[in-house]
Amino acid sequence: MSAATSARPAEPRGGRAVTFGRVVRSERIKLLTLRSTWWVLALTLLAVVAVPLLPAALYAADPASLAGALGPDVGALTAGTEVAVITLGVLGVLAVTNEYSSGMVRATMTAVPRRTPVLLAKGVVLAVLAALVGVVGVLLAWVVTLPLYGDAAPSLATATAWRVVLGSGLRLAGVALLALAVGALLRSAAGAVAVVLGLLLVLPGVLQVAGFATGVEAFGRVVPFLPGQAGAVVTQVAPTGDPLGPWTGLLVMAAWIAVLGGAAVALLRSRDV
Amino acid sequence: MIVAEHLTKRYGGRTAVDDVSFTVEPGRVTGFLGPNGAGKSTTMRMVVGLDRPTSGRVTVDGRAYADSPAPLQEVGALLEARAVHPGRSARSHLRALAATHGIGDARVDEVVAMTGLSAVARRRVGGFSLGMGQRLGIAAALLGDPRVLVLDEPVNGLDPEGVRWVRQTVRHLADEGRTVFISSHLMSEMAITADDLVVIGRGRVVAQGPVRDVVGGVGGASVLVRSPRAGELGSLLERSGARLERRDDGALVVRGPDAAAVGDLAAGAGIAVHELTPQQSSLEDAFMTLTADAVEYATSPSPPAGPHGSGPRPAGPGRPDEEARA
Repeated sequence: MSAATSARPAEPRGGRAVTFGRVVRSERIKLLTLRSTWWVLALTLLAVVAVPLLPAALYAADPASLAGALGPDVGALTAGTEVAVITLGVLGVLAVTNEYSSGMVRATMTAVPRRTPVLLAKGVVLAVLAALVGVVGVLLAWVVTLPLYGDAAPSLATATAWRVVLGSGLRLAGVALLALAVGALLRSAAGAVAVVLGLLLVLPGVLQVAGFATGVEAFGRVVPFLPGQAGAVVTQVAPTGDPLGPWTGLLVMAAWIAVLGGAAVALLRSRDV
Repeated sequence: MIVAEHLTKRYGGRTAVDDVSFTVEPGRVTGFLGPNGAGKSTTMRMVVGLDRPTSGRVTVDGRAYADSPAPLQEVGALLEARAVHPGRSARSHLRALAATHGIGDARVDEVVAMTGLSAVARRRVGGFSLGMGQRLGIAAALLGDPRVLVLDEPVNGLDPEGVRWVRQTVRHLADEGRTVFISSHLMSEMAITADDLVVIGRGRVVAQGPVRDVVGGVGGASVLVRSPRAGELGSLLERSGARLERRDDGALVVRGPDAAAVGDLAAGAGIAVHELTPQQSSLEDAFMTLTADAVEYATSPSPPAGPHGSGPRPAGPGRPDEEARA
């Protein structure tokens, strides 16, 4: 039997082996051939572009008002990415949990029985899409708010501005990856969405309140290291009072992704599909 | 070739597959036969690495499936009718799977045509009938032009035309020298389709080999004999080495000699014979006998009642009216 195996050509009948690049291509096809993906991406882009119109409109109406005083700066252009955190978090979760709910995962893992490349490829595709939507969205927001801000429009020609614009994309990529990891761990959309949004949006507030209520400062001190908070520093023009800077914040978020993603990969390899 | 060696799978305390060993040869259709819940699907999932065996191993052409550089060219698997996202079109589904191996769109369109899905290939799978879903699953299995096919209940949900198509396809694939492993809980289906059988019940292999051997091994051919001097003929047959079963109605069921030999023997002794009927035990009988102790959800502990309701009735709970009438 082994003789027959070794005598056989490595790539039979003109066929080709599974490579990571091919798995990425497969995952790209999968994600982009679902209508829901396009809906989420369109909604996300709309939010990222449209939300900054609000402070811009207030500024245009009365530059001296309190609301108007928020702008104009590049930070005001990233206001919509807070909505994108929710939509891309859901997209990241669904990208993996819909495989389990539909049974598609059995076809997927039969084609790529090593399994790990599938999750990594999903991560690559999601991260690129989320980053694109973030960066393109913030740039579009700059364009659409130009007429409202007039001469006071924030300049994109500074290092800080580019850090904020690119950072917004990276932060959203991070959110999508975090959601993917949680989705892969829990395999259920409802549970994973709850955990992701809880971790990003609810837990910080709960810890703050717990800190005030109990007087234990540790609660409050943990908050900046949560993935949502740490990842958001990079989108602020002038990071204030945080123990983390823009890039160290992203690193902390990356660490969250690495830990949760590592656990997801380990479980993916050991569990039955 | 698929080789399973002492394959065991436990889920918690439940043993789904228990020390299963078998070989599936190339160029033949091997039927994997067993009642629902016998462990067929679990075994097939272990073949393609979806489930990890608790112990034992299974190899395809000498190595674990997951170790193949191009798994879809090694094994084409139909494991569940719906291993497909309902929101994706049939063609997109196949393109996504094909992309993992760098298989081009031309091959995708080829398997779509082969499985008769061309007209619906761009429609979303969510609206597919069970039969169309099954065809899509088979199309996916054929994508990599694999040398081994693992098909779990492929005729499930298919219309008669589809069933015939599967039979022909499976035969054709085996004739090309491929290994075909096909499961069913329908004995009649396997009787038509399979060359070899692996019969499984409650996670254990209860019989395997060529269909004829499996059937023969369970009782095989027999001859039904009626004679006014059945007693004499019976002792005569026993002396000649035949195995005998005396039925209540006076008939004899003879195993060993064929009908001609029984007839000759009776004629030689001057015993009149009123009936002499060769009986071939069917695959169905064999299956029932083999898995009688191994059916997980037995519906009835006793045979069905005769035409006059004389047989013992199953003591089913909550059916006192049935009981009373019987």
